[in-house]
Amino acid sequence: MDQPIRRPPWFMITALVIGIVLGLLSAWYWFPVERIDTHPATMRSDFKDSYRVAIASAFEANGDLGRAQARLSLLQDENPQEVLSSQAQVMMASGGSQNEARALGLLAAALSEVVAPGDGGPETGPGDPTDGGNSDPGSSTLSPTITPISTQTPIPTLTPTATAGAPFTVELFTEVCDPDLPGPLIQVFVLDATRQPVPGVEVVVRWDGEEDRFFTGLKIEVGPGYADFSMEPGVEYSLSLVLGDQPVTGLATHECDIVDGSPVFSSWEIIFVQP
Amino acid sequence: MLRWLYFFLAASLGLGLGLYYGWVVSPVEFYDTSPDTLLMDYKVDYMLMTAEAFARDDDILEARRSLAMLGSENPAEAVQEGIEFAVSVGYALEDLALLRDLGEALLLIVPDLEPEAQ
Repeated sequence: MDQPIRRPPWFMITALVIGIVLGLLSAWYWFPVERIDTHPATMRSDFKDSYRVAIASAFEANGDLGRAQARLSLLQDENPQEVLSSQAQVMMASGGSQNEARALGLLAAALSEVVAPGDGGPETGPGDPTDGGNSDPGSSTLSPTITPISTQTPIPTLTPTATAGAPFTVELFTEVCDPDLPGPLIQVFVLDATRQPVPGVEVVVRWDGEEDRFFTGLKIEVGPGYADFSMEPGVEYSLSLVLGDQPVTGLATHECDIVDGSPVFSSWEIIFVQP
Repeated sequence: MLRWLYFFLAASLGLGLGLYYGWVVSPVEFYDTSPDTLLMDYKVDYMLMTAEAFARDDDILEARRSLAMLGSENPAEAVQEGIEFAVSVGYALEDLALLRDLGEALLLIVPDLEPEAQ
């Protein structure tokens, strides 16, 4: 006697598939997980920029590098120091707040002093607080979940900043002919009395009734006390520090060499020192 | 009739599986988020950064501008909530004091900044 043919329960399989599709649509499109309790690393880039400014301003105020590092780590930048420096330069170039650019530059400079060679990240600092919190056992303020920070970690080597003191004086200014430079530059190096580079010093360049201002330390890849300015041939510049006592005048570039058939224009190196 | 019951049971099972997968196993990943969605810990720490800068600059308008990033319509109220949170998780006294100073300063300037009713 023939067995009846047993057909698969297509209606149930169909219902299951419909249910799964509806479920996925609900979970991914109609009722997705709400965007609450997000992490700073997921923020849009312009918000991250503002977050960095806040970190840098706080660091400028309290000088707590450990805390600043912990906060920066939340943004998960591959190289926080470079990002800060770059942001400061962009801010200056786009006419943004000089104070904020200065704060960013100062923090970048401070980081450059504690990051070991070859180490792209901060030397110390707590990890993501949601992964276990602050690594500093001395912290007295953090719950297991709280974010950064209240470590009041003393700065290992506080970055010197230009504050009160004798005005910077010109120790050396010399014209150089360096084909490796990207163009004719006025290169400024600012040192304190102990000959440590000083970031955050405001530099003023004037020419033909125009003026530009910038700070040392924004090109942290060169040095925390360094700043430069691109010259145009045929223009004479004067340069001074806001905290300096005398301007350097008569800075002009001229053709000094020819490399591979292209002219090389001279640059100026100026060293300011605080006596 | 029983056939329909099985149908809906299977559909419900599928719906549950779909939701579980979409919400738990592979939820929507967000990027380009805004600060107002940050975890409270991070929001309060951002307030603390603002308070630290305010303690030095004494520029309440700048502090208010900075706090606007968190998306609250009333920064003073937001900071008060932040202080309560900070107390609950054991912020250091000096940090709480900074937050309180900022909160009090915000309370003082709010009436001056309210737009005039037209």
